[in-house]
Amino acid sequence: MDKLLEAQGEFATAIRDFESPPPSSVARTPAGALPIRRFSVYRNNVVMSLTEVLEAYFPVVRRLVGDEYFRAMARFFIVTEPPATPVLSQYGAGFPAFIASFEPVSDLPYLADVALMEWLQQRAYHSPEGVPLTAEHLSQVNAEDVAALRLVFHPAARFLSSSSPVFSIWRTNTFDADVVPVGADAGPEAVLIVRPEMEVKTLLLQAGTAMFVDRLMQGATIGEAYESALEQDSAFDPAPALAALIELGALIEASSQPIKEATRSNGGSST
Amino acid sequence: MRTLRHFHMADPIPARAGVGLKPEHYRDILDNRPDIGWFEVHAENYMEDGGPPHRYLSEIRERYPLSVHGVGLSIGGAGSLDLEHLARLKRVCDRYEPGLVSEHLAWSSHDGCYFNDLLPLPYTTETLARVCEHVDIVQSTLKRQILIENPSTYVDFAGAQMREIDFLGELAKRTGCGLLLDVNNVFVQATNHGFRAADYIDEFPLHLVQEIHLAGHAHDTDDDAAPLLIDAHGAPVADPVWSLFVQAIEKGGARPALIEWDNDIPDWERLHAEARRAEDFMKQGERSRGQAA
Repeated sequence: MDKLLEAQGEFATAIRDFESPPPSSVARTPAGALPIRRFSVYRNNVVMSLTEVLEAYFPVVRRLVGDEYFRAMARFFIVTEPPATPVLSQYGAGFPAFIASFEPVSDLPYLADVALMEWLQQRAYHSPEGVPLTAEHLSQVNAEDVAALRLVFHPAARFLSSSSPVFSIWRTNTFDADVVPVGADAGPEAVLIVRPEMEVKTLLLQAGTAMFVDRLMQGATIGEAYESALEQDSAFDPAPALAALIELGALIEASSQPIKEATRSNGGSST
Repeated sequence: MRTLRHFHMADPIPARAGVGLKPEHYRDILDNRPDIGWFEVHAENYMEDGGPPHRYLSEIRERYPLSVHGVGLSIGGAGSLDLEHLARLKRVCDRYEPGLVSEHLAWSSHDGCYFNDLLPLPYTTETLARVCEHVDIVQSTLKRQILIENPSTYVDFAGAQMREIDFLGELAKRTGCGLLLDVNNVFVQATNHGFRAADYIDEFPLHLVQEIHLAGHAHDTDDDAAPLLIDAHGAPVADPVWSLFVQAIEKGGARPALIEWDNDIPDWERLHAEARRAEDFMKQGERSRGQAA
């Protein structure tokens, strides 16, 4: 009964190994030759269709390295890390880490974080829905109690703090017909990604706000997050930052209770 | 032969033309409410927890009958069926209550690795037993009948024991599943494996067919420089495929017929025109069926 299993195993291996002959279960041509062209249809289908998936999720990475290079890199990734599920919107989670360890692009130190940012945007797109918290809701809290509040972020919200200017790179490669080079002096950047309704929005955060958001996402109270933010930026003002988070639809709940781990929306944070 | 009760017959798929729903067309469809019989989606594109795809599909589902077409269950896989994935398919069906649910006579996963292609099966008694077992599990889990589609394949197997058409007939007989006849795949198979497509349609158990697929194919050549057709879904339906479609309607009667156009996707107007063309051919087939009767 395991003949089929064995044959499919051999078939699967031959798809991934471009140097191998077609599997032995496959019939030879009428002249007795190996059906190399026929079998290669499957190899091409698998690699091309998965490459298209990655192209759709990582358009900025693609623009940065060029179409041809992206395809070569994608093929490498596909054969080493094929999808583990037929739900292809979940394929690509490992691509940023793959890029980080892919020696040929080590001269582009920002590339892995740009990939991670694009992946977080893709995750935000498919995240569960949430009802955003309104300013009115927060205004019902007594002023003296606000510092003790903890905030629950929308399930789509993602935070990324990078040692590279990921936002500037992403913005010019997404919106400018002619890419504006991001200066070598451009420093680290942090972003907040949200999708309260249909559209994914990506925002650049100043250092103080980035610390504030990062701490809040980790479950700190507003007061604790404010203190950490002040260490980053002595002029940090939490009021406009909170107003902006609400305006963006980044929050769904304010609570005086500690937030359960499961309800906390944890974004990515690069090293 | 077991019979299965239909649990979701609220919105049956009409014997008209439909199209595969593409994100590129969500807005056109909702803004203009085109006169089209139904839509079909790939189940795997609606398995996330949230996001715009679900919002759009929910709105479209309120206005049109929907068919769910799975592409990733690997029903022909020699290993155990992926029950987690089947549970996802069930969630999609529970949420959208499709008029029809279909999958392929193919495998696509092995040892926890998904290949994103419909890989071919040797038609043997061993394969038949395995596919029947999997179709039984799917139908009892979904609590409904599913349709199984005839594939496009590019290689032959040395150990094949039966013809595809007999394999499908036997599968339907043993499991009570229905069949989805992909007419383009028939043409592709006939070219790639050297038989007459018209004979295949003629012999096909059309009374078991509840849906027809139509699509464009691409041209390549095999190891002997003979034509090899690729089921590429990136072009209009080819003329000989329309002829086979008319032949199937003439012999078996009108059926829900789907235009699949998944690559180089045209604008909505062009796609809708292809669907209208399918309805014209369907009427032509019905007329000659009427005359013959």
